Amino acid sequence: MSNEDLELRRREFLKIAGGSAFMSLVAGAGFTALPGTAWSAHHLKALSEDEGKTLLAFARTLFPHDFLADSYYGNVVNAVDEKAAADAALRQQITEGVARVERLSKKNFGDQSFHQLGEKARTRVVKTVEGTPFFSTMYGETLGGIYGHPDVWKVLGFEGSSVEHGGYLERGFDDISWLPKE
Amino acid sequence: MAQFDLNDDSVVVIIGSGAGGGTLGNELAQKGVKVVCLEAGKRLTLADITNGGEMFAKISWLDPREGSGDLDPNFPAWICKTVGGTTVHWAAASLRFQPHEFKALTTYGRVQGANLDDWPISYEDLAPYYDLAEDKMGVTGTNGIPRLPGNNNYHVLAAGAKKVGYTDYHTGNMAINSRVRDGRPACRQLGFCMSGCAIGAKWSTLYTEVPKAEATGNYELRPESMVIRINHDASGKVTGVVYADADGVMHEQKARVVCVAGNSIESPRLLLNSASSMYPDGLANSSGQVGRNYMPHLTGAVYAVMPGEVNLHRGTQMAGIIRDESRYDAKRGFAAGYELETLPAFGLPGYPAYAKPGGWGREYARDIEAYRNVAGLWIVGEDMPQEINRVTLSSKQKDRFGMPVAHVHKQDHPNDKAMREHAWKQSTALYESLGARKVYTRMPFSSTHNLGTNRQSSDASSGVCNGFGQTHDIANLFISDGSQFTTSAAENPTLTIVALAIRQAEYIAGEMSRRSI
Ligand SMILES: Cc1cc2nc3c(=O)[nH]c(=O)nc-3n(C[C@H](O)[C@H](O)[C@H](O)COP(=O)(O)OP(=O)(O)OC[C@H]3O[C@@H](n4cnc5c(N)ncnc54)[C@H](O)[C@@H]3O)c2cc1C
Ligand code: SF4
Repeated sequence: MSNEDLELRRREFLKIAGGSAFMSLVAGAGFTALPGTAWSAHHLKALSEDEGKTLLAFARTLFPHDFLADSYYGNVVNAVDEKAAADAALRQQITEGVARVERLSKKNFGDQSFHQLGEKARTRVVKTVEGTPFFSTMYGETLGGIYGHPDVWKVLGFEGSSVEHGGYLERGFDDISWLPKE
Repeated sequence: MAQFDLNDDSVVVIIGSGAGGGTLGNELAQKGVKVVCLEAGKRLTLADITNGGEMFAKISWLDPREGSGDLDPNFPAWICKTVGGTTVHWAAASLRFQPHEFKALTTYGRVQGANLDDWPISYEDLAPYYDLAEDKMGVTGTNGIPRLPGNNNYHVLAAGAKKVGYTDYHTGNMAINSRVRDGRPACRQLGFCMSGCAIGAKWSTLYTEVPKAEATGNYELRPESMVIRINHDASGKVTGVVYADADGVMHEQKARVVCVAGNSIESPRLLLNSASSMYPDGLANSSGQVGRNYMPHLTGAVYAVMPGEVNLHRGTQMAGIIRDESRYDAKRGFAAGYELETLPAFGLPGYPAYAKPGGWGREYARDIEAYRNVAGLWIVGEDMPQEINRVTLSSKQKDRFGMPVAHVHKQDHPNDKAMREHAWKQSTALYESLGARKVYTRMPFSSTHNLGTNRQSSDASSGVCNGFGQTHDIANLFISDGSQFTTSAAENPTLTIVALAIRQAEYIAGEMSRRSI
């Protein structure tokens, strides 16, 4: 990279900087629900419909955000299903994990399936399997799937790549307003 | 651009093109010394640097390593494997050590379980080279270069610092241009320094030292060249290195002098892997200290949910520093000191992954929803050198060239623990003084500062090299990276690595012209 290239790139940034300011999707303290759809488990490749329902509820229990429609957690289940279809060991890990979660639910909560339980009960079940390989798989997939999603970034306020906008120099890098005056 | 023959035994071979190796190569080439730099990683251009997590996979050292003790078992350290080394990912905080930190043993006295020593050089010895390094790197707050403007995360840090009574805080000494300098633009507050600076405002040997060295005609860089072993002759002098090229084909490059700058895990690995019948414990290891005294700094992090928006991803990632705790004050109950520096949350999914590793559930989700309000800082302090903290060759795993992978062990010394507790407490008070709703304190990330595994010592029996990085055992073998640190000091290490490399270049060129090496 020559100095000339650097200078050129710099000028490009100056040109594109100062464009549209970030529009917050947040009104007040709560978040507007993200438009999404219900999610159906009947198209899964490797997993059964019932397994899909359990995983959906599991993902939401890990990171419960009321503004997120089921389809966001459903994407996580789809991704797990894809991987399980290509990996027999993973497929088995999921099946066994789900079976254990269902056993725990039915035994402790009046024969109800995990996805039928309230959040408190679901949380207790998830706590019981915390630390298992099944939990780790679901944890990693849900963390990456939910918080890697650009829609979620928008709601929570992570603004992503900035170089194409000329950085934050003119876009609020020092716009903090609530601090005590120095 | 020069090209040297494999049999040219007049060249200086430098292993690694990061802070130490990149600087040393340029300094030697400027003096007319012929240099071949062998770098394991690929060569990127600025156009390859993007704003996002994908950079991590592109340039980090992902070859297998083993960690034990307090380290991540699979990813003990975060280091780069690319031309420019870890200066592509680094945050660019560039601080001088304090004079007393070169005399750790004298200042702190014997600390049980610690292998403390004084450096063979003093602050005064290094001061002129600090001057040169700051000028080379364009460090803000030196040479009349203005400091960077503070971002939101910094303003929170500064306001809290003031509230709890700190007085020595500012936007740091950064190797990031605050105005156009050295053909590179001023920082645009992109906020992705640790992915690589996409506009080159941040100093990295990738686009400073390496191309400048190439322009001399005395320097050849060979990327994707992984050195496996250093050879020597019957007199014990090193004669060249064996390396694998991009296709895995092995070559031997002859050399008059060999300088090891692969960072503190790979450098001792290479010396250990070069064991021979003459040097059964590895090269330059008559002291038994090669690989020992591994110091990843005392670190830790703090994330706080503040009462208003911070948007900490905006702007320079290491945007400011509090220095009050970097002094040595025995009254605090531990030796040495630490710095507090702003830290980003690395966006999403970084924040939920890092604030409370493994965290989940309704309450955690609520704190994640407060992402906009999060402020963060990093603790970096002097850790105690311990012989048990060391790099060894794995007995279980080899890499694709058949070289045993590095096993890295690190466990906290009680002094490290006491310091971290103190820093967590101070940081929590700082954020709470501004009304933080929740404060998360966390243990270290995979080590980004890796030091001490081939340390300098006055006495040949207690370290690997002298004050110039020249190994005690082999006159034409040098240590040119952070592994030569005798102690870690509280400050981020790179400015010192660069200053040592400039000083070493002067010494090597002098010794070569005197024909002593
Ligand atoms: C995210 C992050 C942020 C950081 N921020 C700061 C900061 O703000 N301030 C600061 O002072 N420091 C910071 N650091 C640390 C800093 O990057 C390192 O201290 C510095 O780069 C170390 O220099 P080095 O020469 O020892 O090694 P490196 O810069 O790591 O270079 C070593 C090079 O050697 C190559 N290599 C290794 N083995 C071989 C081999 N066998 N054959 C050929 N090539 C080999 C590697 O591929 C690599 O390119 C940060 C690090 C990270 C990861
Ligand atoms: S904040 Fe400045 S130094 Fe960091 S990546 Fe952006 S332009 Fe480069």
